[in-house]
Amino acid sequence: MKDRNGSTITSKQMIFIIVGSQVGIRLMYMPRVLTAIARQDAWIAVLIASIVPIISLFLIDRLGKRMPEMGFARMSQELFGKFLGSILIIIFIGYVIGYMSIIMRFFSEVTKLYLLPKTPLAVILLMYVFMVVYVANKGARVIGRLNDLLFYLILATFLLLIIPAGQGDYTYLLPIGEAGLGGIARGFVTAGYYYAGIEVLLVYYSLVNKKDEIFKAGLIAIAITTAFYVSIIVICELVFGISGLQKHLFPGLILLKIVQIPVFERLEFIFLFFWLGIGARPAINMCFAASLAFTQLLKLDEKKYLIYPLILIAVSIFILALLPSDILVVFNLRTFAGYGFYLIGIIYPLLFLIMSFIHEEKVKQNA
Amino acid sequence: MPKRILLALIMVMQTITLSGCWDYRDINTVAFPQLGAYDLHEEGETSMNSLSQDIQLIDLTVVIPNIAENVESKFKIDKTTGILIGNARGQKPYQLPGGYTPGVASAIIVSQDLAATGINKLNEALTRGALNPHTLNYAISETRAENILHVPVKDFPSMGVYMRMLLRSADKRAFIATTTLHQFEADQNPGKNPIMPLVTIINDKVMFSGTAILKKDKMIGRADLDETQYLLMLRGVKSTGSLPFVLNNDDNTSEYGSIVVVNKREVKVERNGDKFVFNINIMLEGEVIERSDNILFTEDKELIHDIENQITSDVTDRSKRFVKKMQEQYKVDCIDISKYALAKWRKELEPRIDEEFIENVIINVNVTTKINNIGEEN
Repeated sequence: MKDRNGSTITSKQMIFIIVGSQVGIRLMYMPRVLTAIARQDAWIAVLIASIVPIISLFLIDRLGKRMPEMGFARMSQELFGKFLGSILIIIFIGYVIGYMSIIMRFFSEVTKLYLLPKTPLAVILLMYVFMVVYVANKGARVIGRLNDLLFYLILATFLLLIIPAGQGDYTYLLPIGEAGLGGIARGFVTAGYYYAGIEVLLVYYSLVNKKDEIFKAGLIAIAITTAFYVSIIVICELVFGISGLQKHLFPGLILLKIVQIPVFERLEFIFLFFWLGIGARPAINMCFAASLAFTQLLKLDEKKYLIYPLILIAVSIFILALLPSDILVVFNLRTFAGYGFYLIGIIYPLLFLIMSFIHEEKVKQNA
Repeated sequence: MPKRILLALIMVMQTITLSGCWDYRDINTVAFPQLGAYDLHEEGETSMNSLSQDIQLIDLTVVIPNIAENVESKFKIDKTTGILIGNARGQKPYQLPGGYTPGVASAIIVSQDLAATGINKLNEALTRGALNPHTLNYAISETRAENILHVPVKDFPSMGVYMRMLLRSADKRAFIATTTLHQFEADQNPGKNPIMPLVTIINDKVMFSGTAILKKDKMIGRADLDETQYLLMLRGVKSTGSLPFVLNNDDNTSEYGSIVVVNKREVKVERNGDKFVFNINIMLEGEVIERSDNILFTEDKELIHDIENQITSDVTDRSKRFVKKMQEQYKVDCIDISKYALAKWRKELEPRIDEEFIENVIINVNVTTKINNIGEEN
């Protein structure tokens, strides 16, 4: 396919983009949320919930295979007509803005709490938004490479989180399966939210140069994300116990406060130093996807005009992220954003796929 | 062009909003306490006297090293009073120049009368903010905690350094209880209870005097240094220490000496209806350090087994006595075995595990001793 604005990516980069869109600040608070529901079986819930992104991946891949070179926006307008198709794109962009404003607020709150207690939240947020705009504006290939690079960094820093496991108590994980089907099922629904990020494939699909490798790449990405999630939940359960976990807003970070390594001393600051870049990845990946969809919606030249919707989206994220009065409100909003993932990640590709079968002729013409 | 404008805008904004604008602090003007002592407030004038009489005020005393050059004293001791620790910290600016950052403190000493009222409320100021590491070591003082800070230290730069070295990893040096802020919190999970080292002042020297037994965050009893050995073995705290032995032959002492052991523990729990039986297996491994007699091990092949059997017998006897004391006097699971019952029947037991559970279970103790090394001498 034609390389638009350095916008083709390899399937390997796609793996890192998906992982980058999924694994972020949520790693730090997810163990608390899920163990409150599924108790010691939270890791089972998150393991089973990996089926959610697999379904999403399957649907997007089926859809993409039918219209491989058509971007998300064009596909939407072709299948649903101009008006309804545009509405669907706008909902997608709205979802990205809403979701990313929550992620960015979380991130800024953590930065303020741990690193910059006296710096106003708005300033921290502004710095992140600038970073997101700057990177996203570089195009898909740069984003792909950045995700590639940061993945290895996240892997290295994730190893730090394994150190405290030595202080854990295995009895906290037992008895396995005691939450029962009901508990695990409730945990499953919530855990499904945490795989949000796979839906970026709706936009990125047309940018991947080897389409036949996308499904495999997606599966690898989901496996990596699942491994991260299961590991962090098991470690947190081992170290804090279920009751102890509920006391910490970000238990993933507290993990690093309980070990002391000579010379390094305060591991959480070292971890956060690297994590600042890593944590903004979901916003970079998603904002690029939303901006691309926006330019496609308005049929603008992506190379020339990508920056404008990007700034618009970034400003919206900045304003929205500042609206919640406190972090507890953000946690509540996060649940709604989770429902949004089910809409965009599952319902959207399913609807698109159904419509592609209904409009078989159009699909064949464009294939 | 728009990209260049954007880049310029980003650079300008980043320059004017650098974190240093708000979070900059000159390290030379900040006081970094090394050690904190928490006490119930001693009667006296404070600005807090207008508060309700029901609330007992807290005294916070800290050791702060003097980092400025050419000063007479290496450290200063500063005491303030507040409704809780954060509030007492808030009084520091009235009597200390510069900032105050407790982020590098490495130990906290709580007086035992304050510990009896509960420690969680005191930890709030340490855990709610993100400044403090959860590796802070804890100790409970049999005297007023602030007295410990005033004990003269000659061989160490300050009492802060002395206490850090005394408390950190003490369980790797002898059968001494150690607790960090994280461990203290984790040990308040259902079925668990923390223990803390007890310290006291004897002859102008701060030293361990036993172990504080806590029911969740409240101190309810103490074990002396001797009992602490068996408490740690029963609790499964991997530790090391010297154990004496005395071999008797026809009612006469034939030999005595000591071995150094490391300990491990295994626990199995069985259930018959509402009757729970815990089988604790303590495994000791060690080496002979010294003996009073000169019979050679190569001459008396049974001697090493006699020493092992004597140690086994002594530890079994003392452990059983401690278990009895725990069930009858403390009435809390300070040996950390309830978790094995929770691991099997969590949903059913969790609501009642912390009330009248440990008193009504059967606890069997089995000890095995293995001497691996007799040293260089025969």
